[in-house]
Amino acid sequence: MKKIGLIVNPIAGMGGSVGLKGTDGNVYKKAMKMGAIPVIPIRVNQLLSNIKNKKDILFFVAPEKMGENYVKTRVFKYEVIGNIGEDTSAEDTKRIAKLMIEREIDLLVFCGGDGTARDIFDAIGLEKPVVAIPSGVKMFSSVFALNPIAAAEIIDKFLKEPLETLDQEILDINEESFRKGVLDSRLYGYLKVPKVQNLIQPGKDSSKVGITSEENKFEIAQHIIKDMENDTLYLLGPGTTVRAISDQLKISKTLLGIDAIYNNELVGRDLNERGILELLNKFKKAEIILTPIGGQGFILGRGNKQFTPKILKIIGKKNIRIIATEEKMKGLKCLRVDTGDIEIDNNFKGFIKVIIGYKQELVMEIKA
Amino acid sequence: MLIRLDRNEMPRSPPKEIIEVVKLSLNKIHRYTPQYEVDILVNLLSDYTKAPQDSIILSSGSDILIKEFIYLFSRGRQIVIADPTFILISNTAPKTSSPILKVRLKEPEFKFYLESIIDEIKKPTLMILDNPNNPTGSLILNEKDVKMILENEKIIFLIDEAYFEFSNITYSHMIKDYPNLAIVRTLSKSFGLAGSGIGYIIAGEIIQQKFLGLNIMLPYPSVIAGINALKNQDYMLNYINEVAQEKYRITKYVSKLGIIAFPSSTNFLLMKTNIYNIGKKLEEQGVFVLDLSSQIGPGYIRVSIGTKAENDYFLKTMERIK
Repeated sequence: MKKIGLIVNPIAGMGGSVGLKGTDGNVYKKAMKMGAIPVIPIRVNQLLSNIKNKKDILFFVAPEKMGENYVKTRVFKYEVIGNIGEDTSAEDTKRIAKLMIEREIDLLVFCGGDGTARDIFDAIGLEKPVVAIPSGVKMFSSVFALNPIAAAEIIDKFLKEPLETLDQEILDINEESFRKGVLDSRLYGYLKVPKVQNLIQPGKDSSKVGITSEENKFEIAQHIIKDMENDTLYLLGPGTTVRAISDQLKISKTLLGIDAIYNNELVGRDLNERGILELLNKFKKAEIILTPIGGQGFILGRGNKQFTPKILKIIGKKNIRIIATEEKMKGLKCLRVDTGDIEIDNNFKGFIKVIIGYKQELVMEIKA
Repeated sequence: MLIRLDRNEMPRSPPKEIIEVVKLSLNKIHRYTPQYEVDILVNLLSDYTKAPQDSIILSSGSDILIKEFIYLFSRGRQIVIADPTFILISNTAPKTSSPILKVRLKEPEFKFYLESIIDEIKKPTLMILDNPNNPTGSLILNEKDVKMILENEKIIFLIDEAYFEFSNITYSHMIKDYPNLAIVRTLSKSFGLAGSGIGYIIAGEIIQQKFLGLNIMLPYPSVIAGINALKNQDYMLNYINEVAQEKYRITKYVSKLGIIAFPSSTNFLLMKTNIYNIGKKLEEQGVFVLDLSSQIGPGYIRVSIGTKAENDYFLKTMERIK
């Protein structure tokens, strides 16, 4: 029997029908006044009714409308974790998720949007795998299952066999700007999401030699380290693929920030534009190492705005190296840039080699 | 009901007359394959391909030839392949010590952008491209591109034309001008001899010499099957016509279900669906297709063209799942 946590954000998705583009902060109250209909019950019920192996689960649920209400009328075994008040908040999500980790859950299932994903990341980081039921208004993060039915299938698979996980991005979209029609996003963090490999048919065509995504990151890091030169400043962008490089160099890197390495030593941590410019003044040769955002393919302009047009002009396209796991690249049709400077964006258009393994590269198109 | 639409095979056996002579050949199974029979097969292939006899290298299946080709010519060269490509190619390349450069074929036409690597291939390179491409079914090369690639003397270029008979596009005639070109083909697809495993390379002298030591003996029944298939090509031509008609019918049908079937110059169709876990769902209904979620992305499948009845069953199943 597997222990699965369930947290439902009861107000997620309510802004959508009334055109409010999210329910962050107190916007959900406005949504209620405008006649918004809760979307969550349909999503959660779809999920729970489609789980086949109901008897193999011990649910640890958040109280009442945050989870309990949905399982108590069904055949699931469950325990209620924590307390909540009349109005629920992000703090409830975070607190209860932490309590669930203490109870050693195997998997955490949550219903919500980007905001809920951020709360879950704040609480549990990459500690346990999650299945995210898409129920919010904004779902730019790549952690979400396709729909509740697909999520139920993932859970059933998880009950039967250990599943490999992928670190998927959570984006933080500025809701205020989004309401004004501007997509302003930054990379907020990562969650571990089960990689659901579709059943592969027997036959020679399907005998793909597989390596895990962690092994793939290790290989990419080996490739980069092999080519690293002395007296060159390496600016490492956000992400777990890039962090694998510093891990192998035994250097502690921030997950979401820009860090700098020179002759195998950390010379800058969580840098902003000013910090990067200072280093560029000091060191003559510099390279940027970046990984695209999964699902969207942005290499610049999302999640790494510290690399401003000014910095990119100094460093130049030829000194930017893109790295990504094969898994991530499979989901991308092209790479994208949105630096805020049309001239630089145009300069990036064309083709670029992405390092996808040890001595393995993939030629991809960059679009602005 | 169990339907295999995952291996791009001819969905029924070759004509009786071929089967009968293959059966008779079993009486000589205690003997090694006589060289004169192999010579007959090479002569027939030479007539069929319009290539000189000594430019033909035979083997038990084109897989062995492709692998051997990669091992023979990758040393000291980078390997350039398409992405996606025939999985044997993408799986064999990393087993060498050569750097690998993959070139993404861009949807929806799955074009190979030669200009994206024009400077890269000035280095010593082994380029292997399948034309038509598997699993997309698209023709990724034109004669101008092939010439431009081959003008570079540091390149060894292998084109996999496993589905040539469906596309009717070949560059085998260029081997006389370009000793750095080789074409690999098979009798497994359009001739329906997948179980016999007969593959061949058409190549110039430089490449032939490297293969001198290979000496792979073909099973006698396979050689007999090959000879008789090449002597009775009508059934192959009929099959190709049938495939073309069925591809048209299936494409039209699935488009009504909101599924995209990309244009194909082969005996299969690449389809893009938005159905979660589509491969597994079809398998549960007894229909095997190739699930490409790990090669192209979720929802993509490669579906071989079966008999009309098999195709109907596939379409009805898709309708139900949808």
